[in-house]
Amino acid sequence: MFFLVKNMIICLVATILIECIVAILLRIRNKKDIINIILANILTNPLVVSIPVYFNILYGIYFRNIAYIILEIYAVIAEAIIYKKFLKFDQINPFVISIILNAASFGIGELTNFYI
Amino acid sequence: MKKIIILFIIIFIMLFTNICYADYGLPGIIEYNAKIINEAGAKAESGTELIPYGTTVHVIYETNGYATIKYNNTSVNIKLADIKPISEEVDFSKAKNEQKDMFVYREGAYLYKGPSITYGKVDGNIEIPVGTRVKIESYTDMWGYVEYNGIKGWVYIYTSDGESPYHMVCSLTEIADKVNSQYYTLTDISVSSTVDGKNVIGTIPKGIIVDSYFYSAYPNPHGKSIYLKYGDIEGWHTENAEEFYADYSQQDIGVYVYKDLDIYSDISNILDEGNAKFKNKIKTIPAKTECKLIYKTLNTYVNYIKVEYNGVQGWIKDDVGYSIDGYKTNVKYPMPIKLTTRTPIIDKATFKPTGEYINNGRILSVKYNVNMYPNIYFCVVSDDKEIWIKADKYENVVNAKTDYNVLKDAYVDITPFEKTNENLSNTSSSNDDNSNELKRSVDNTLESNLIYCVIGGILVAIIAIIVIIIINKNKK
Repeated sequence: MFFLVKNMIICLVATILIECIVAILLRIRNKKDIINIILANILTNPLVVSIPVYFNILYGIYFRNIAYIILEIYAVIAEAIIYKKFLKFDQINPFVISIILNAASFGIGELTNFYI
Repeated sequence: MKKIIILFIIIFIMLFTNICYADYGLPGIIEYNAKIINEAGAKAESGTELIPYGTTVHVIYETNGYATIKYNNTSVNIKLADIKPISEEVDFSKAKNEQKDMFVYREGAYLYKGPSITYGKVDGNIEIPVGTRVKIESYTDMWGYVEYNGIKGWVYIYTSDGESPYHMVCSLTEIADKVNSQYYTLTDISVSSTVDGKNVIGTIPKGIIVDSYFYSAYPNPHGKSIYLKYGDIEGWHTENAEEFYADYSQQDIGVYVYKDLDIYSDISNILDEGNAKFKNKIKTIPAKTECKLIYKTLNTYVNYIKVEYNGVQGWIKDDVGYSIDGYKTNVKYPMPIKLTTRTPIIDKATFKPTGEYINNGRILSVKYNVNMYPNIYFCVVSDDKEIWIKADKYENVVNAKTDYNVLKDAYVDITPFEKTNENLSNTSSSNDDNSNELKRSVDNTLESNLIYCVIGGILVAIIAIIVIIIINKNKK
């Protein structure tokens, strides 16, 4: 149990770090906006991490991948809604922000898995 | 804002390195400074570099008879024989400071002054005798720090001789935490502190169930030795005697007698292949009877089994007269089976079909089975009832898409993704000893923990939504 929770926390912290850095690079500098981005990731990331693992263990990699796709889409949409509603930063469309941030965290995560 | 960015970057790097190096593991040696002791100098393994006699080098690794050193900002391999540590002091902070129980099962467990043979052996060439149990206080991958007879030193504990830098064979092995098996003593047996049985330290009486931890890997001319524990008595017994051939580990296993079989109160001469003498017949167990297994003999040409029938215990011979079954048990073993064809229900008394069938694709909890070559019969639970089937085509359920229901005392199929009957292939699998080794591929504990993690994720998500709303409401 400890091992699972520890891994979930590591995934969450890594995702938050990556997305915050990318957000700052996108010129989202407002403190409040950064906090909202962090909270949006806390909202979505634990589910996106734990549910595919559950499916992988019980039903195999095929169902895990399906769960992954569905949950990533959910994460993008959920975060986009939050950004649209609460983010002060309006230079980029909130859906585009959500896609960029999630793509960055997903991509860096996959690269990390590949090389390590 | 800049400080926050810098903080994030630092945390990220720390996290990244933690992930990258999470499984780095323990180094084989503790790095040390050494001097070149070869008067001709130490030649690098590759290249022409020659490190002069007396040069101080820093050893970072040892492999294949060579030491990897840092020299002139490069890593160079030189022969282990060409160096000697400058100091005998060892940096224990680089070792894992945990205790580990090990025992010496072969010759060669010498004490060294440090965690490398370059330190040399402890004065007096002290070798820990075979059969000694030692407590390792600190260890690296290859070396363990131990105290023996008041003398402290390092012993080689690496289990792979081909890969080690010294090509040494490890003389120690770890002691299992749990008991490997249990034995039932048929007579008083002696226990020795040494694996050759010469130093007798106690006697375990007849009729006792003893715990066995491991066998000696060291060839013993007297026969294989087992490490036993009974109360305060702990030590070796050479497994070469009639008094010690019973395996008690199969508790809760039943015996199904399917033809009339005599049981006897005494047995002797069990090592004489197939010629054991049975004395004092107690009674005859009638066919189609279930008995409880007490224990069975091991390492004999023919198995002899002690059973309990109607409150009486006696010996029977392992023959075609009976078969070992899974007995009624409240644990999750044996494995459930999935029928891959429409299977006839049989009458338990006659073993003849009743005319009823169980459909293809059903997952059934197995109570016990009877192997009567060429047929296999199962006592299974179907719709909360025990029935017997003659199962020719089935497969063992190893993906654990079932859950053991304690109230029903049976496996219940819980998968929502069950294959349809048309998709099932007709495979047959024999329910021999191999099936007993099949394990559940899904740990129910892991499954529960994953569910808790998912629930935790949902709760965290709800809390996050609430916090988002509160924070942004306040701001407005």
